[in-house]
Amino acid sequence: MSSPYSDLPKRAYWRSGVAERAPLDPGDLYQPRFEVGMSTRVATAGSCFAQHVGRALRGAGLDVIDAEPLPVGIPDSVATGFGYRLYSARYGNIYTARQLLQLVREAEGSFTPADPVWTKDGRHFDAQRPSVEPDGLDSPEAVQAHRAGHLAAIRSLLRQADLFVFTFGLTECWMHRDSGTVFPTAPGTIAGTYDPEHYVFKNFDAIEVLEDFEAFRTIAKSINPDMRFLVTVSPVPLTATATGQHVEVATTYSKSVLRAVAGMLYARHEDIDYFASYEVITSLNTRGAYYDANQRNVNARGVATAMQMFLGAHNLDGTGRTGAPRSQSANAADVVCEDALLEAFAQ
Amino acid sequence: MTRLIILGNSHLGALRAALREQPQLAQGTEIAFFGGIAPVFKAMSLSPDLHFGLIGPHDVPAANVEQTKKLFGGTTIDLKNADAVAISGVAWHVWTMVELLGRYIVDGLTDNTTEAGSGEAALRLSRPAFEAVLKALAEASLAPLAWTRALDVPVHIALRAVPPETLITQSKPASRTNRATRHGLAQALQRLETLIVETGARQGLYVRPQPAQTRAVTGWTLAEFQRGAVRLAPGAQSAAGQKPDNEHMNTAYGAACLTDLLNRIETEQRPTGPDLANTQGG
Repeated sequence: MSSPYSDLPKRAYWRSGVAERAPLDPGDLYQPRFEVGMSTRVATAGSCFAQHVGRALRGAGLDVIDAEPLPVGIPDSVATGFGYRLYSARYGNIYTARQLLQLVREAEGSFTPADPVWTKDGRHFDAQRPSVEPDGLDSPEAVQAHRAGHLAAIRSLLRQADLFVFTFGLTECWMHRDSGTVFPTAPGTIAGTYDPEHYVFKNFDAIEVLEDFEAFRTIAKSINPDMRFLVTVSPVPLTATATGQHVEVATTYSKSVLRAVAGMLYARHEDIDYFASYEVITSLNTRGAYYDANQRNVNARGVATAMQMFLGAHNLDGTGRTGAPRSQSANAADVVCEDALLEAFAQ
Repeated sequence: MTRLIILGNSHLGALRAALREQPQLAQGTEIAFFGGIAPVFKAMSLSPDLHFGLIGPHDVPAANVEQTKKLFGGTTIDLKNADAVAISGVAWHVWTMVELLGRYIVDGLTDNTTEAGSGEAALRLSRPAFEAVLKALAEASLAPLAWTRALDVPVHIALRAVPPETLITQSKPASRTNRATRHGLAQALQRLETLIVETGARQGLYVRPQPAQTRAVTGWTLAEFQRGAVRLAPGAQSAAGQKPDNEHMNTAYGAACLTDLLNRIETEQRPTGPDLANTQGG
């Protein structure tokens, strides 16, 4: 008697694909849809986990674009403290697809964010990337002048990139009530003031995330028709939720939505690949070994394993498809995450 | 008589040539030079008995070792008998500043807030970010000199000359060097020099910036101090028809640098005596 489940490869069955796989062996979770090579011009953006992706790709010698570069003589500790060298432009963490869409629309002149400048202690912050200037700037005009240069860099970036790597991070965000402008951090966390009359909590659903990313893709392809996309989902749980639900329940919702959208994008568009870093880190096979003691932060071994799998799959590490995790030179905790600041509000 | 040992790389050449031409520059100081071209000097270290040079295993090619012997009569020098030690030609991230300001406008550094040509808004660097960058570069500039802490005599540091102004006068307005100049290179270099002096003072080092009279208002070195640039190795003087040497300076520069250095050493050594201002009546 034949069955569509007979004669499938070992990776198709849980027992051989997972249960019998050696612990911490990521197996062949990722099979690239298209080639990424040393000459591929890569742009990176997304939630803080995406910083690991960019760093690993740069470390492997890939051509990762930096549209706002600082000279090499300036140490990373200084550069990253001001938002440089984290991503392909100095936009800080982009946690939601809506934020990404909004940014690209703004860069291309079809969107103007509401409440562009937040203040704190007499200093002025770019509300769309408040962490990149820890001390703020002298005036609202300075914030706008800096942002104009940043948007020019993004326009340049969109025209150069062969591959846009985006890591989905969150579904929850804070939105300007009247205009719908979203922000990367809650007002009052780094700067600004929370006023429920002006700001409203928003938790995106799968349809909204899908539509936002597809709208971003449409704009990006109109600028750069050959651009392709690699999407990932951050395996880092929420620091806090504003939904009223338990943070673990809220995390499952958020990650499920994002993972589902990543799968839908992969299914709908030939120019979108999904890289299974989320599965590498969260797999039952790892027994939580890739998380720090707080069961939230991904440790260096986890990052190295995921990125080794990516590089191996593209033959960019010279060792084959998968293998033992390579040591990660930088500390896995050495990433900039604004959402971690919410920990300070924990009782 | 004060015994001064001046160490350095190829930039030592201008000082040594200046003293050969004008022995009176020594002002009664007994001066000895020692060092090597950049890769040789980089391989040099200090032994526990205060000999400086090629100590222990190194990967300097034999030809360069021989060159060092010819230039200085050996591959080490004893620093125990020195009253003061100076190190010339210390690099201090001038080109990092040129690269930075070639791309960015720094808040408040100059009045020039527009960028001609591209039609795009210029990238801007905030003042806090700029100050953090300068502080890091000041520390990085002096980090290779940590070995001097083992010396118990004053250590003077002569920073390397900024490249000549011909790099802007003979290049296009849109060049990186010209953009950096328009974006306040002179002010940025002055601020970085100040921070290096302050950082050095905290580490017990007397840092001497480039003599002011050798600099143009643009921050670059006046062209007259570059023409006929001198290096350490004999005959390594830029000749007519060759690509200009934009890193090394000439004997006039060497003389200015040596004079400035010796004046500073004399100032440091001059007895100050008690302050009698409040007890001496008028």
